[in-house]
Amino acid sequence: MKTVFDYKPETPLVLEEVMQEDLVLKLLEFGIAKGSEIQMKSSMRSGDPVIISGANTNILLRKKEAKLLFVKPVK
Amino acid sequence: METAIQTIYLAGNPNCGKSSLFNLLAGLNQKISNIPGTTVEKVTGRLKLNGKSFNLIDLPGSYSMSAKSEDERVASLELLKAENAAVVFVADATRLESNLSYFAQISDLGLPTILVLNMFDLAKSKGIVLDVDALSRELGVLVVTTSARNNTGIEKLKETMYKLERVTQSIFWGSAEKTPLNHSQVENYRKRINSTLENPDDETGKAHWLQESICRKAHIQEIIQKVRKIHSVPATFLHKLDLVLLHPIWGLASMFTILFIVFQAVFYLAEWPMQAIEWFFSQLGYVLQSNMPSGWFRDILVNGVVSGLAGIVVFLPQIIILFFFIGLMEETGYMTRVSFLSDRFMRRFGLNGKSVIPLVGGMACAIPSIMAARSIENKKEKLITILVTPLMSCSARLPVYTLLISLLVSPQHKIGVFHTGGLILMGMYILGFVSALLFSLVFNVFVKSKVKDFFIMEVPELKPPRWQALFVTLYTKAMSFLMGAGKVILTVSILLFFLMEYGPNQTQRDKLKTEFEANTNATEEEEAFFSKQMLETSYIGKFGKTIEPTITPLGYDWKIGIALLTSFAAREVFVGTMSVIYGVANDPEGVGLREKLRSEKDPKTGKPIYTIAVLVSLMIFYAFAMQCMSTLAIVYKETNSIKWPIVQLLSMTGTAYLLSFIAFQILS
Repeated sequence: MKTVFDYKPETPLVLEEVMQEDLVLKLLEFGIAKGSEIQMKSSMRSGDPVIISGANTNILLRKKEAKLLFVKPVK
Repeated sequence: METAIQTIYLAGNPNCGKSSLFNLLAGLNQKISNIPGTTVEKVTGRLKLNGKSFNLIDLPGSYSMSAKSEDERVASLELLKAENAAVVFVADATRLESNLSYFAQISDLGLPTILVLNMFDLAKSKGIVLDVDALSRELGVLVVTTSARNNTGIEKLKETMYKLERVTQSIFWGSAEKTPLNHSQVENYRKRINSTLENPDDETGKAHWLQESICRKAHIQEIIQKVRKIHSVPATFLHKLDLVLLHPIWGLASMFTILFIVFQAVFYLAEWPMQAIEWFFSQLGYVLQSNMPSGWFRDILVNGVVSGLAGIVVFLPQIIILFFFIGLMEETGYMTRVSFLSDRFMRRFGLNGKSVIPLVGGMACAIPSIMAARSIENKKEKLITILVTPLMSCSARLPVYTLLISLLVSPQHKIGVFHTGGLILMGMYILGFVSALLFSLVFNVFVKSKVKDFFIMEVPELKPPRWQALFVTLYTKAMSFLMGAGKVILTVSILLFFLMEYGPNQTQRDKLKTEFEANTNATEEEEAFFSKQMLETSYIGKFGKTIEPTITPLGYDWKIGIALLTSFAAREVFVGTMSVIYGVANDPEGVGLREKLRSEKDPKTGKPIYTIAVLVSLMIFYAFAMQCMSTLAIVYKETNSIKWPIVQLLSMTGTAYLLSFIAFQILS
């Protein structure tokens, strides 16, 4: 499975799986769940942290958490 | 079921415009108090609708009923204990997914609820088309559209709020199938939230909550698909600007440029108003001195009250300019960009990107900034942020630095096109920031935490500032500083006046005074010698002399010692104390404190007291010393432990003493 880091920024992606329960809950608070469309909006040079856009909300998260988000490109 | 509603809660996500809406509904009829047992502020107001009066409460912004941060927990607990109450849920119309997830959780509490779609105009401009009637039908609640920014939809909202007593909740969103809401379901749901709030790490509770949240999300998503259409619109200027501000290189370059401009502006723009205020108070002191009958009342008014106030009001222009820029960064959403740009760097020191907000806020005042650290969920990072925030150069240090810098270099002195004073001031702010980071490194080693947490935060859209809201905040903060500091300074100034007017051997002092007053042809030297003798023989003089041996290694005389001691109440008291000791208001030629200090000589050597070594030593002392009782009190409240304010007091003041000593010894 691929993560947001395997795609270019601004590539439309679908969230397939989130590997940590607490992170699932936190993303749900921002309106993002499995099946939501997301994209990486911006990242620092090292890829840490990143801003991910989904459900019309931009969220800031660190690389180690962003790597727990498994995605696939929007068909 | 119809209930007599007495209280209306305004609830919603952070950044949804809830507080702006609250201001429009409650007007100036507001009161800020702490929620009992916590340090979380509750803003309450009164709202009259068709002759009936309601309590209106603005709850802290939250994303979830089960959230971990203290602000959010308090919002949940307030709603759980609500009786005879209703909820006005404020949602950002541009971010329905996130906002309606929280709405569904609140709606399941069974309280009468209406939904406000705020920022409706912004949603339209972003190509978001919402079928409000369909949304109302699907959710089973009344829906109102508003724009708090443009003051539209407020009357319609008030009309709808009046109908709240007749509103009943009909749907429970937390199960796989939308079911009619019933009493036992609500009770069980409330118990589960209570249990989740008490034991946030309980796996069973978490799993149950996750299941319910997924159900709510699915229902909400289905509704959003029915009622919302999004048309693409061209990128706005702010969108393009945001790309620059978030760029890994240009973003950092912009951040440093913005901060540099702020410090230059604080020093440069404030110069003229400061001179005007200084002139006003010297004239006021002179007019009072010349026109009032002599006696203790005139002396206390001129040498105590006016001197003390002059010492603090003069720095108001700089404080207002600094608050303006901090407010502007918060209002536009730029502060969150700073969090993004700095998170990786801050992490190395045991902090996180969210720590930037308390730290930057700490440049205005440590007290609200320490309270702002509540949004940091990770306990260790939160504690370290609380411990190091007072090292940031707060507005109380600004009067001290400005005074000392003006003694170091002339206000007109420039290096290239930059004011030297502004550069030194920026250096002091950088010193505050760097020392905050170094202290964080040390605390990161000693503070232990077993809990592994993650860092995630919303980055709100970059938006133009709401000038009215910004100026209201600016006015409130400036008045709060003036009143808060004013009270302390006035009390200290009056106390100082008495300690300077009286001494342990009062008979001898009275004799000296009578002799001096009898000499109508006293020279300037004789007058100066008399003033010096009176100060030395006063209670404060004796006290200053007693502590002098401990501060001599730092280069300070007993007069500075007195100002150091009084400024342990609050740092800015230093300037007021010096003004009182040097009798600045009673100064017919308008020679300000700066000039008095510049011409102050050591009576033994005849050399200036305020040398570069003393001034640098003093600036370092003020950069590090923990001299604010209110900050220590708030740290005690926030950490719920006496240990941390003591650690803070000893570590900061000990470092201040050591570094000032080193600086003085090297430079002298």
